[in-house]
Amino acid sequence: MDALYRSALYLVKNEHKADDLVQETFLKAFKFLKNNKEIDNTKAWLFKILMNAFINQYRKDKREPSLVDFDNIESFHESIKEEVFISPIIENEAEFDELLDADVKKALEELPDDFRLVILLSTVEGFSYKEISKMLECPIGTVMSRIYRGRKLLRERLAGYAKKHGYERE
Amino acid sequence: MNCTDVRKYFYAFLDSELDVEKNIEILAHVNMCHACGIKIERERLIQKRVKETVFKVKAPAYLEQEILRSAERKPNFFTQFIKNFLLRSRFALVSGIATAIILIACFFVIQGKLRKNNILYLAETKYHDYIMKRLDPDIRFQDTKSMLGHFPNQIGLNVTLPGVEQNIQLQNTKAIVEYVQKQTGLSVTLPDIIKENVKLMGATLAKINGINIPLVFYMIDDTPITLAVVCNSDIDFTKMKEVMAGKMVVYKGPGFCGACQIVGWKEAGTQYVMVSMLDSEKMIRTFL
Repeated sequence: MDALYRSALYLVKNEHKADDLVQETFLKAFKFLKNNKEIDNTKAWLFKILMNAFINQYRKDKREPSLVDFDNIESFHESIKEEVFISPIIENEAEFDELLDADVKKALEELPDDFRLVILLSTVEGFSYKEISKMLECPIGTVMSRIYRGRKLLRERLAGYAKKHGYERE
Repeated sequence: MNCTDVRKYFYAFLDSELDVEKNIEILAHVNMCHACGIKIERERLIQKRVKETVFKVKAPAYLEQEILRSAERKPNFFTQFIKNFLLRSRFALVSGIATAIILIACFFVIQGKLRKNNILYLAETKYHDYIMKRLDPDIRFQDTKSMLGHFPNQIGLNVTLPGVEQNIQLQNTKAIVEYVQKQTGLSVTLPDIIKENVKLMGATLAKINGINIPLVFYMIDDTPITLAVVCNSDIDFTKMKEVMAGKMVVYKGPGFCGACQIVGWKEAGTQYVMVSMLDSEKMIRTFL
């Protein structure tokens, strides 16, 4: 319940909407279970329902196309050059302790939906790329691309907040 | 494996997505390359910090109860009906049979009763339409000659009317009574009319099958009413349905032409008033 709720809250950024989203997820799950169908991975299955509900309900009004193009794994690897290492970084663990939860929250919430979604599933909930690929019904390459770009954006934003607080060191 | 290879598998390594062989190769490189090791460690710290922050969010206590309540809530009847109707063939079959029974009842039972009433209503309406058409000239235009040509053809009875000059259009009960008494030599009593919407239109005398019958015409709103005042009637009231209406005995039975319905009531021993009408009950209520 907590796992679903925290993901829902970070997806819709609103407590009431998060309540509704989790409630809808469980009601759909109950309905499905009434038909005596077997579930292999309950957590992944519940998250898949949650993500589908989010995509169908909270993003259907958005006219913009997905912010992430469906790169395949090859193009993803080709795109990685020096970015990982030249991106703004935070030097040590002490600096992370100084980062406020609000900063992390804000940095996460500012990410585009597609990136935030995969980061919640991978970094926070620990789902494998394959599981995320099944949940979102997209190729593993696309998942990896979103994870890479999402984490890069997140790192940049967190570094920005750390710098703002005066903790970043040259 | 070199630093470029590590960059290629950077996140896959962090997320434990690499196979064992690749994983060992990267670990071997990281042990030798301090720069790569630092960068991997920093990224791990970021991921850990993000995870810790998100993990602090807990579901509110009320949410579980709310979900359980929603799950137990029964759908409304309409939703359930549609669902059952569409998804369960057995229910659809029962519903279909029930619908068929209702339709049959509507068409053959209920409609049958309506049809009977309609026939009765049409007969009475037809009769009064006929009366209006035939007697209008007498009431409004005093053209009794034109009436004489219609009566025999329409009702198959031999009808004669007194001279035109003797027909009256006095809308006055007393004048009509005097006229009828003068023409028949019998005492005549017309029913008292106390309703405001009833208007006396006029009277005339008609011979129907040799019987001299005074006809008095009324209008109840827009509905024409014909009173046939039968002073020396040989109509057999014993064959009519006898109904008590106030202090009077009201008789109901077939009319002159057989297509209409009449009611009659007996007053003062020997005097009978025959009434033909559109609505028996309304007529009784109006005149009594």
